[in-house]
Amino acid sequence: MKLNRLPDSKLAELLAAGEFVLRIGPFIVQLKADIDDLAELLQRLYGDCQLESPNGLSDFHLQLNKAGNLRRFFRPQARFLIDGQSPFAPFPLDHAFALFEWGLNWCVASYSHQFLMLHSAVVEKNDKAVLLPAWPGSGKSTLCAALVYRGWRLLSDEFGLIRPDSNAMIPFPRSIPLKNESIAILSDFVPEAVMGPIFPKTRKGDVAHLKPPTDSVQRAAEPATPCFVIFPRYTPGQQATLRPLAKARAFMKLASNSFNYELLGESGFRTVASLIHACDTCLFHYDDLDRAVQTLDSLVQ
Amino acid sequence: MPGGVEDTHSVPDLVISAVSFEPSQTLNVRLNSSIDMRQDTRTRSDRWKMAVPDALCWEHWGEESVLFDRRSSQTHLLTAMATECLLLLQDADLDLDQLTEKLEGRFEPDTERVTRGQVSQLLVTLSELGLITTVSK
Repeated sequence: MKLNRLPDSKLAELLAAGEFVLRIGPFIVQLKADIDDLAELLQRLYGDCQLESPNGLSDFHLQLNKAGNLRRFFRPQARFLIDGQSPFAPFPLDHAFALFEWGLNWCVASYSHQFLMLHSAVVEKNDKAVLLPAWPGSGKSTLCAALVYRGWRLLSDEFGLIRPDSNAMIPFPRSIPLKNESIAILSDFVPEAVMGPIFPKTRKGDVAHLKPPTDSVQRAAEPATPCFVIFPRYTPGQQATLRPLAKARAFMKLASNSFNYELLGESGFRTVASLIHACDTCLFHYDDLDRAVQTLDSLVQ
Repeated sequence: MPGGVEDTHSVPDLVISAVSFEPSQTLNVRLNSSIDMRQDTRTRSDRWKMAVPDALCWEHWGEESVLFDRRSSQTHLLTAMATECLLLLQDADLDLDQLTEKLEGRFEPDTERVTRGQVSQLLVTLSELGLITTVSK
């Protein structure tokens, strides 16, 4: 059953009992929570995801609780726990959903070493997947959001997942966190897109989450074949320009955008090498989203 | 952005870069571009060979290469000259003069002149990374 078919009262009941289990891409996430606004945001942004049985195996056992210290009276906080342990400091209570998103990222990056995890958006069109690896501030999420609301399939905004020694990108479609100016830019670019509230003054500034397209979530079990590795960079005043990047250099840039390349050792090396052999590699500078989308569209025609 | 691998213009000519994660999982890119030339005295008379060929995995793209060292789990980006130098030392034990002569033959007149000092610096860098070693006399 899809989450958006579940009545609100039943969702609150499952969350309170710790029986809320959701399939998100290749992961099964079990969540227990006692925070009021969370259910509505989960419905809004994860509504197309599939609910799973609480009696099966889960990849992550998470809790999102109101912190029980004295602060609850004057500055209430939310705590994130995995397997009963709290790996990082609490967030303000009204940022609980952002904490869930950040915490889930942390869990995947820390534990999912069955995959080579690239810090990369991955999108697909015409059976050609494009990896967009980039460091924060390069405009990766903004470009990714623009593409997936102009006909591209979202595999992931954050995690390029690939099984070692394979050559298929594994989808992990989730909401896309937009930051600061990107929130208004995307609201103008895609007025019909569903977005969560703006969480102000987080560590990354103002953050709002864009719902992934329904089609991308429905196709979350379909891997995609990588054809291009493109390093995007938002560059004010520069027309959309693709420039070939030597493959050995692209290898180093891609490996340096990984969460666990070194941990995987030789297997990580061979997997990145296989990706680079299979793909054209480019640098991409852009400053206009329409032009950027047109340029990438023309690559996969 | 980790320094040094932004684009082709930011990686110096003779550089070998090695990547390794800090405990924080932030990638540290080490650029060995400024070797002190006083270190090169030991390269003059020694003969050199590749350290442990079986420990290395290669991928070649054009003139450049990427090399994975199983012993250290470090990955190195090798320029054309570093690639050629290592391949020569894989085939035979060579001293600085012999190596310089062979590299001159490979790269001149297509590129700038290959100097003895340049090759000496490259040997020091490769040696510090554990990729080559001197041959016991």
